[in-house]
Amino acid sequence: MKPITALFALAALVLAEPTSDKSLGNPNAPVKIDVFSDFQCPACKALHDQTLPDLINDEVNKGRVLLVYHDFPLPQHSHAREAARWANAASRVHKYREVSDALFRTQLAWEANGDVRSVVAGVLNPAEMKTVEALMKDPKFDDGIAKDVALGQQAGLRQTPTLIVTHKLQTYPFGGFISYSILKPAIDDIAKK
Amino acid sequence: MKIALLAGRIILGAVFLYAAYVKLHAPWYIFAASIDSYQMLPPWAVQLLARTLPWFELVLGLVMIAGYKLRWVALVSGLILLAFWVSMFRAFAKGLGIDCGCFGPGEQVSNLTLLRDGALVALALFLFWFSRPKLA
Repeated sequence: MKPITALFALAALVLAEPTSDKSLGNPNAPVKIDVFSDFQCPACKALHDQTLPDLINDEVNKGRVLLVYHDFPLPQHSHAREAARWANAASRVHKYREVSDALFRTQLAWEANGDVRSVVAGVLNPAEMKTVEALMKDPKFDDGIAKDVALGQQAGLRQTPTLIVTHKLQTYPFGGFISYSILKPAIDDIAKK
Repeated sequence: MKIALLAGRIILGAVFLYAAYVKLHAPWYIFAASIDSYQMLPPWAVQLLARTLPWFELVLGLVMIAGYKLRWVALVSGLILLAFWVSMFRAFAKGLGIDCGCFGPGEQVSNLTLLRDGALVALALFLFWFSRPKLA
C-alpha cells in the first residue's frame, strides 16, 4: 500500500464512528480494537471463542478498551455474507452479539447445511425475528457490510481475523488468530506509548 | 567445492542474520502473533519461541558464516528450516491465509514462501553433506 493511501485508510479507521450495537465498552477508552472477522472462518471462531471473552472481561469491561466489530466476509465462504447480513439485521433489534455468538457456536452446522435462518431464529424472540426477517427481505436495508469491507480493504486487510489496535492515533495490526496471553502484553505495551 | 561451501554458508548465514534482525527489531509480541496464527502451539510455547528463536537465529547465522562446526550447524539449520516448511505447508494446505512470519509481518504463506524455504532446506543439506570429513 502506498503511504498516502495507508494514511487515508488509517485515518478512516481512527475516525470511524462505531455503530452502537457493534461496539462494546467505553467510547472514550484509551485503546480501540477493531476486529474484522468472517462468520464462516475457523480462525475467526477460535478468536471469538477463546480470545474475545478474556479481552472483554479484562479490558473492555474495565473501560480500557473499546471493541468494535466489523464484518469482512470472504468470497470463498459461501454463507459468510448471508450470516453477516443476518447479524447486522439483528443489530437493529440490539442482538448483534447474541446472534454472533450463536453463529460462531454453530458454525460447522450452518456451514454444512446453509441454514443460517434457524440459528438466528433460535436466538431472537418472535417479534424480533419478524422485524429482522422484514429487514432481510428489504432491498433498501443497508447492512453496513460493504462499508466494513471497504474499511478493511483501505486498511490493507489480507486475512481474517484481523485486529487493529489503535492508541493515540497510531494503529497496530495483528493478522490471524491471536491468543489472549499474547494480545494482553501487546495491549499493555501499546497503551504505554 | 570449497567456493560453493563458502558461498552457501554465507548465503544461509545471512538469511538467518536478517531474519533475526527483523524480529529483534520489533517488540517480541509481533513475532509471537505470527507464531500464534499458525495455531500449532500452546500460548506458553508461543511466548518461549518468540522470545528465544530470534536469538538462536542470530547465533546460528554468526557461527554459520564463521564456518565453526559447519556440518552440525548445517544439520541444525536444516532441521529448523524443515520445521518451518512443515508448519507453512500445514497452514497453506488448511487455507489459513496467514503471514509466514519469516522476516517479520506482511508476507503471506504462499507457493513462493514454501519454495524459498524448501530451497534453504536443500542448501542446508548440501552444506551438511559436502562438509563431511573426507575418508583417508
